[in-house]
Amino acid sequence: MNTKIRIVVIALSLASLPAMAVAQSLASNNTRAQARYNKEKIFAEAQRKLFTITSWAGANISDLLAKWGSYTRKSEQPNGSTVYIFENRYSGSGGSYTPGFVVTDQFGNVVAQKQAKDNTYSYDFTEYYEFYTDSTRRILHVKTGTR
Amino acid sequence: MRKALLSIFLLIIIRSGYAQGSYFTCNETGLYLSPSMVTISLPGQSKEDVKQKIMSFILERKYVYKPFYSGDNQIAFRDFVKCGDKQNCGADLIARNIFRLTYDSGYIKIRLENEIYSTFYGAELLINENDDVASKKDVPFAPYEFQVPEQYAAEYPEAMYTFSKKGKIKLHNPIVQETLLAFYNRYITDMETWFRQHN
Repeated sequence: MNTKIRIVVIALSLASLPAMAVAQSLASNNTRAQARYNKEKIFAEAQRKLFTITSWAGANISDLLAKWGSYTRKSEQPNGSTVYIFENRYSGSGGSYTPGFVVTDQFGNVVAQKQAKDNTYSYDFTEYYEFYTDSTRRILHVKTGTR
Repeated sequence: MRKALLSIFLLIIIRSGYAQGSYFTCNETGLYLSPSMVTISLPGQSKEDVKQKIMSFILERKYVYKPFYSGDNQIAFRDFVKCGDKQNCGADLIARNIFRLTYDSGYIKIRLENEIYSTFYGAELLINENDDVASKKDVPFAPYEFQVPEQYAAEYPEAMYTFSKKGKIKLHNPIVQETLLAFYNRYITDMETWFRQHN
């Protein structure tokens, strides 16, 4: 009886193999399709943020200053244009440092030891927005980034 | 045997003709002018004449003049246009092209900076004065992928090439390649024709 049951189980398992293969293939296809969608969704959202800021191109710098407030610094270019620069500096640190130790006996043999753990981190960067204007104070170009 | 030889002969003729007629190279790394600059000779034209003609050309073709990239010896303009459709290419392809025309008495040198976007999910793209691109309602879109891993071939029907894990590169969508080459070559032939006619 047990043998019969085993045979039936094995037969059913073998019969379901092609279906499982198809299901697995469909699942991975869906995963790849989802991967493409997610990647492009993230790109579209990042582009929107950039687009919103750089859409100041074409406007008068006075309108921008009225909305954004005063700039960090200004730079006169040799070609007569002016660059208004807004900067935000971000810096900080965190994490922890746990010192290690080594215990030796009177003969110099290591009895106990522990490695130091260093999870500390620090960051320091400046986010910038540069607005290039012409002699009529019209914004010709916008550059953004970090440095 | 004779048929096979004839086919090979015809293929060589077609390929050499194709290569000769193209200003661009299009491969798995991208699409670019080859050589990187095309020169149009305008004998007898002063620098000011050439400048005026370039401005007239931009106006006539309804391209967007880019003052930020323009100067004493250079005029830049932008075109933002569909360069491939979903039916033929697998996705609508939109090109953002910035042409930089360096000029002086008697000549124009053409350079191109281009970016192609794929709108596989039907995104409607917008461009601002800064030449940045976004989609209406943030529908997903992305820069066009010239090559994708072969296991992603079905998800990227518009991709021109696929590559295997061993690094073997295969032409996946020759129609896109032909479409893009034809599209970009038209720019140069159009400029050559226009400037010769107005010389």
